[in-house]
Amino acid sequence: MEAGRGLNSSSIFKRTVFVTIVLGVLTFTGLIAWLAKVQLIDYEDYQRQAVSQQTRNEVITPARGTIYDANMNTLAVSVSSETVCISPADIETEEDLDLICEGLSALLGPEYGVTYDDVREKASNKKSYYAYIAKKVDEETANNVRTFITDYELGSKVFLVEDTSRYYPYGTLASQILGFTGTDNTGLYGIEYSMETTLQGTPGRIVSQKNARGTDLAIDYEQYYDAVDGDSIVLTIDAVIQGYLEGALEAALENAGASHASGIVMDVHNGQIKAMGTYPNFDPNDPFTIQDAAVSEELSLITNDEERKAAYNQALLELWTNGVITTTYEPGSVFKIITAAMALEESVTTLYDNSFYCGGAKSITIYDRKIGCWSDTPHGQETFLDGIKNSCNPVFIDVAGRLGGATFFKYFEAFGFTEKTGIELVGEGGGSSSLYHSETYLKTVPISLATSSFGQTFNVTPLQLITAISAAVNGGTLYEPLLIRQVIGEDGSIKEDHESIRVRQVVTEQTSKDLCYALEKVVSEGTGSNAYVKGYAVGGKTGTTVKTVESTDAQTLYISSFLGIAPTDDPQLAVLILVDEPTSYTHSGNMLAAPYVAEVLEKSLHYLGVDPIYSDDEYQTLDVTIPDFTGMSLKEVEEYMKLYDLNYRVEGEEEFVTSQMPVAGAIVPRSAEIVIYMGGSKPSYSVGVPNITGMTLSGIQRLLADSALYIRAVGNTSVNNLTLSVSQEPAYGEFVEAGSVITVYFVNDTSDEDIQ
Amino acid sequence: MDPNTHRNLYATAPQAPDAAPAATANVQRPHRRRRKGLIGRFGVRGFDVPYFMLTVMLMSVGLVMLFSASYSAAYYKYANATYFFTRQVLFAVAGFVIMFIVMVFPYQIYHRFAVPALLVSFALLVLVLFIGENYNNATRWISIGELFTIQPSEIAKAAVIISFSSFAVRMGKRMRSLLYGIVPFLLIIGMMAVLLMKEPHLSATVIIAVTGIVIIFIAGAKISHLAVIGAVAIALFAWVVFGLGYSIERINIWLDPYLDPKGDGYQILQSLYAIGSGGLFGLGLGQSRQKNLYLPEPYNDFIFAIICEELGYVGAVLIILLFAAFVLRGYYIALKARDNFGTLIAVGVTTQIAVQVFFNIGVVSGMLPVTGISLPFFSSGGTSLLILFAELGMVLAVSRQIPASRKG
Repeated sequence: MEAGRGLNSSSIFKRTVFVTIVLGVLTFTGLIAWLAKVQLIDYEDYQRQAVSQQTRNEVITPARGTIYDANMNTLAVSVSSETVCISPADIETEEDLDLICEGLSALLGPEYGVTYDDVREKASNKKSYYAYIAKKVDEETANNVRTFITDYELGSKVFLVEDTSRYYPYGTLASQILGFTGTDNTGLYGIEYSMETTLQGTPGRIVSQKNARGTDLAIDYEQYYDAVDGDSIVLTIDAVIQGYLEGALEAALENAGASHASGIVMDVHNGQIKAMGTYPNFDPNDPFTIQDAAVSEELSLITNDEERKAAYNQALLELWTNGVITTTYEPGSVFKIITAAMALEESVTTLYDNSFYCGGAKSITIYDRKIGCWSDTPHGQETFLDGIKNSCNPVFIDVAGRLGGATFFKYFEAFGFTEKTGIELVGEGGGSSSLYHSETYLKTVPISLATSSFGQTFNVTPLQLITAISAAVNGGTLYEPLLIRQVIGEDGSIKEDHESIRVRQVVTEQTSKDLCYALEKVVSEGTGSNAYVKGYAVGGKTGTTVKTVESTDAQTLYISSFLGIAPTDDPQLAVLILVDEPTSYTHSGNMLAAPYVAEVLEKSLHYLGVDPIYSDDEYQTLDVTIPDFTGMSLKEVEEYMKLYDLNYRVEGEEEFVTSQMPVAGAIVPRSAEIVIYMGGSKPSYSVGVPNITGMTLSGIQRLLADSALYIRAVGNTSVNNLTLSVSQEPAYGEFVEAGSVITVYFVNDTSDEDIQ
Repeated sequence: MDPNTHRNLYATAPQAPDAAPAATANVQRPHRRRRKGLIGRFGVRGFDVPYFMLTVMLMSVGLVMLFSASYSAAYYKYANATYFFTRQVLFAVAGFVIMFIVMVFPYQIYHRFAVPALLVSFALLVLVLFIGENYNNATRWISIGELFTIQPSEIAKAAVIISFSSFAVRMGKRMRSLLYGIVPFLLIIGMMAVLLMKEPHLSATVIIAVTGIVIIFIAGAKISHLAVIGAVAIALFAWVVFGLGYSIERINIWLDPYLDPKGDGYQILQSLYAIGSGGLFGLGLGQSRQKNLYLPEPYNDFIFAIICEELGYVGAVLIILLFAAFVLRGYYIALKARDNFGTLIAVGVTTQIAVQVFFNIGVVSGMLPVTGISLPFFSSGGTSLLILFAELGMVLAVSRQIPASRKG
């Protein structure tokens, strides 16, 4: 008998059927129904979230366009660099961690500031799949890291990410024009910022599948959308001229003990900006570091941390700012060029109109205000040309009165001072109606017209000023300043060609010619003498600005400026240099700015291949480099001397040259006498260098006439007897070999205008 | 084949010459007429072929899906894409062997194991608390050597089927009384539940409790008693869940997995993402994306999510229907069983599988709160697969003795 016999079979049957229905039918029906809800009704949300976590949507950064100068020298370029990263979540064992810390600190080391403990700390966030160890790693190091990864099979634990970074091959050169890019490779200042959309290109995308650790799956789909690289930009800037300008600005700043020196070089024929900038500047490769020692030192004196930080940021901001386009100032006497242009154009006077009278300082009363000339000594009766040469305020007050407020304003507007120039940079200043006197005001308030005539009581940017003056001297055509010459596609094709935009004819060619002549006289005979350049006829005008806002009772702050053009018979370049807050004994634009304008003009015109035309006197003072005559026959020496038009005398009577004075390679003025020794020995004694500073050239020449020293004069020595030597090389008291050359620097101490 | 075996099977073979009179006579007579005792019931002939075929089908589909679901994880975890698959194939082969061995023996001998199996289960359930391996905050496994682990709860599940069936049959009519029909069984379930909750292992507790109660229900326990007990059990369960806070978080996460999408809700969300991605027809076999380390252990409890993702709703329903057919065939065997013991054994095994499938798919699809419960035939796992096949062997053993008259 089975043990189960006692159970009620029919009850078992019924109950089993019941269980069958519940567990065999209802449960499965329930599951099928529920699954339908999840999979067929609610699925969209789940699907969307699944796809978003499963796919990697990787952005391919396009290569940022290059910035070239006018001669296709690279000013800014994107280079790819690599970032070394670790994935802490994948570093599972202590051995691996130790190996990675050890390996990376050894490979990257102090160069990238990576230590064992750094890596360990960055690896401590175990949930993270990404922690960077070193950025901008060079190629060799990156390859070493790569080898390290493969050697120790650290695949997902250590990896490299390619990144692009911006490189500025010229360092600080043109930094304020170029600006710089941030860590995300977008432009923050300058061209990099204003031309962002052109330079940045269109990012591409890779959509690929990944697993939960972010590793790509080999299988399945991958969609690739190409990145379009950014377009490149060709600037009108010429790196060489920019270099000349920046060198001059640095020297000007140092000479004047100024806070800033800034300048613009413009091609007057088309408004192209050849160079511009402010010194001190910054290195866009490292924009957050202050390079200038003086500025850093000043900052280090601030003891309060927070204040220092604020001051540091302020200082950085100043370094980044392209002041010549953003900041306005009262142009001072440089503006007299514009007033003169108006006067000549409107024929209210001529250059030789002798009807002007200067009664000296405060000689003119307009209502309750006394104004007058910068010079205490009255210029007396003078022509308009004299007035320009002397920078005589009463003359300009007079012509402004003859012009009247309406006409003055008409030209003020025509020269573009009432609007921004439209340069392709962000942050341009000037042109706002609060900065200048309205037409009505000029008509009704005579003092405003009087002061405006010599560049005071209104504000312009240096860029506006040089643009207007370029128009005044180029035959009368105002151009929009041009900074971007071309936009080039990634394939090298020219996408945009920016021609100079001619705005309007402001004055006639005759007016322009007369003006150039007058400006040349300012340099050759007047208040701008230090802008003189041998071989090029330079015209120009000095200016002094009182910084009325920044000045205090205790201290008046100035901007000394000079605007030069050359050559005056057919002006090519205009150069404006502003020396901000000079601390030297003078604030004369002729002393502080003109020599540097001259330097930029001379070098730039040479560089541009403009042939110099020397007067006879100039010709004699031109530098020549002495060759090695040793071993030559007398005939050969004679031929050479004739060919190069040099002075010489011969000592001794042997067949060949045995020695010479000065030595080969020395630079002397053409007029210097070269001594050729044919057998006879040259004197070999030492000569003490005398003190020859503070003297005129002729005085020095007399002093050294019988010594065995040669003189090489640098600077304007041709104007008048106020041109004195300011320094010499070698210094006073040194002993040099007979036949050595002493270089002497001259500056014309003609004082120019002051401000009342 | 051994001639002895032939003779032994003679009685159950449907085409046997003496099968015809048996149809009208006492259904149990032909067996006993041929040879007395259990010896005559050894053999392999006469097992339920549809049940066996369904087993083969489920296991085959299970292996294919396991391979698909596991290779990515296996590759990342063991650098060997076939790690889980190879193991599972070996266990499946071993499982079939065990199934055949178990099937050969007449199930009546299980009476002899009723008490020892229970004692061994208790011993292991106690032992695991002391020497068990802790994994994911639960102590459920005992390691044997390097490669094998056994889950005492799996053994306990099988033991409960055998012992409850045996006890119930032996109780006979006394099953209707509270003292005999309810109390002893409940004590066993209760003690096991206490031990299992120490691990803790909620899902095993639920499966054992449901299986045990279904067995005593079938065996004739009074419905009124069961109703009261059910009420008490639900109260106790509620107390454990809400009172002790054991699973309150799980309940909250179940109601809204987005409460903690990166933590406790992560697994169920990833599972739902997988199911949702599948849609009607799925991404195609092997095309699951969620198995790429998103869904934790896709080769284990959550394998059904990968099935849904790859085979879509259509494929998932087909597999559910396969399970349903399998379960229904199990109950069919129970209904047709030669004796009550066979019925209870088949009901126990089938119920256990049905409950497990229901809970697993319910959890994976977010119908039920998350609890670690594997999907028979599909989830990777050695012990559970071997025990499952042993239990299937028991059902087949029951099927072998179905009288010819009852065979459909």
